[in-house]
Amino acid sequence: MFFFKKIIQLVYSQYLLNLYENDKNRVNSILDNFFESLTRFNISLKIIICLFLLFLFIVNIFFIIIFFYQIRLNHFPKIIKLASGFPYLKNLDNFLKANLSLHSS
Amino acid sequence: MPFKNLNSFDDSNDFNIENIIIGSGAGGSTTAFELFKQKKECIILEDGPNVNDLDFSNIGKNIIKLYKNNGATPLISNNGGPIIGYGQGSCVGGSTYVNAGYFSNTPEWIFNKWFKENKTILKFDHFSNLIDEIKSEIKVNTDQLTSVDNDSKILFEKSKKLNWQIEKCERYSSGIVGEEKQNMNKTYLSYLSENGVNILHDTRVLKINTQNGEAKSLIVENRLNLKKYKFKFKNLFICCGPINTPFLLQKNRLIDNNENNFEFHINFKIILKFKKPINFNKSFKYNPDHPVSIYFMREFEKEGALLSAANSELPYILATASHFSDEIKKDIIKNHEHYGMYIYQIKSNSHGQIKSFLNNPYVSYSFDEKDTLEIKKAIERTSKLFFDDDVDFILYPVENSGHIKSQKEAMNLSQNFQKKKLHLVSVHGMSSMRYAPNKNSLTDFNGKLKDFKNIFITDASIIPGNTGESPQATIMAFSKFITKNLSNSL
Repeated sequence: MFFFKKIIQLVYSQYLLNLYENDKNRVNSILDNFFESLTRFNISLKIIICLFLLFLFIVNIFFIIIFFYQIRLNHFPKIIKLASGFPYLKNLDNFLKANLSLHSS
Repeated sequence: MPFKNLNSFDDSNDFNIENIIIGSGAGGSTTAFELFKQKKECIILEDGPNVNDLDFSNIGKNIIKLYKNNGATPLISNNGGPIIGYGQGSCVGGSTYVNAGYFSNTPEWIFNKWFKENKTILKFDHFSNLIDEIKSEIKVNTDQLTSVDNDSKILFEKSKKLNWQIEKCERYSSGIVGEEKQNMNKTYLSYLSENGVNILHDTRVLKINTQNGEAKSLIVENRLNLKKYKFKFKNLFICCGPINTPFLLQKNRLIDNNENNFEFHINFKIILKFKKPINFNKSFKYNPDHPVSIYFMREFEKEGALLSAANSELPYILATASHFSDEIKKDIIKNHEHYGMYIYQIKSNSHGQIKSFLNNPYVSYSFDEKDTLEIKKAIERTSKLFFDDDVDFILYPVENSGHIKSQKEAMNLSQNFQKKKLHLVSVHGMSSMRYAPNKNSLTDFNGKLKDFKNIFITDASIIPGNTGESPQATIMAFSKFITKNLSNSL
């Protein structure tokens, strides 16, 4: 699960930092709280979320290769925006964002 | 209340108890209470945790622990409707622990319709007597407005201005500010536990063993150490809620068909930004006892629509606004005290069926176009009610709808939204295993499972149809009705 925790951090930390005015402590606490809950999710939801994160990770690798000249390793905001065009992917992204919000403190 | 778990019985793996009740929510605890009154031996098995063992410091962490399927059992449309997240409690007390605790009766005209359509033998007068009995056993009151209920106050003032019917919500409550909600843990379950009835939390039913049309025993797992136990019994009451009861029976192959009987309410949540600060709910802690809405706007209750205030703590508003732009969410965080959230509850015309994926239940439902019309009305009515000099904008649960700043913009939205882009939730499900006057009916009038002489359903699953009101009191009344009816035969 450590691998998926890292992907969640890569995908959503910038989104959260933007919302919470770069309050790193708050963002880290939200991500930690959320990850603790994720480990308790039921198996089907855990599998769906992990597949979604894996999908984002693989597309990110493609983007690193395709856009190598940009010298960027994190294309996740762009990928999330693209994924939002597909109903079920958009739902998953919303579900994760809503859950992250519930874990704010 | 120190409810037990199976760790207290480590010296024995086999139990023999007259009546076993699976689930400790409104249905299960009422059944147990009635059996106890009839001096019948019983035990309650609850899959979820004991709430007293939990740390309530974070809303998100508690939702995962206290709700079934992470608080979002999906209702997935099979005809292009939106995915709806369904929340149901999974702890001692079930949904009565996590809900707002509204005490609402099913209206007489709905009851009469059920009776006329031969869906129940319970008449409204008898139902009313059962409701009075519940009221004599549990404190039911209205709550007083406090400094954190400005959203309710605004709802009241604006409804009065339009001369729309609004009244205080009755609630399972002492009516004293600061005193806890009268959920099942604090009432029936507490009484039962004090009188020697075992209520076992973290106890999961894995298998129901049957033989010749009779349920014989359960294989049960202690979720804390995964140890397995066998429970023998005379009668089995299943009260796991309108999704998990049919799911448990399907999993054990005790039912092989499940018609499209699952009905539900749609919560159409709107977020308002007021020009002046109105929201002083600053807590990030989970508090299921705090009153949510002091009033219900009932102008359109005959159409199955109710409007009330919602939990307005920042995490809840942000979660509801998750599909909006980051700029909107940043403004919510910055100006949280200007934001309020309301729920327009719709008695949905859609029907669903319980299915499962990787051993977890979900509902496959058929979105009824009449619901599109109801949502259209919800946008129009809430804009008419709320738009005034004091409101900056309304955020409707429609993807990409952005700020709606006037009634005209709201009217435009109501004409042009796509059903797939709605973001809806539900917390009231019912009637998935109701009696139906046809040969496919899964239960009889007494909640007895077809083809089994000792399995009874006494939860929201057997409510004859959509109540249009918070169903807790109706679940309890039906549970009492069935358990009393069975008293001589058990």
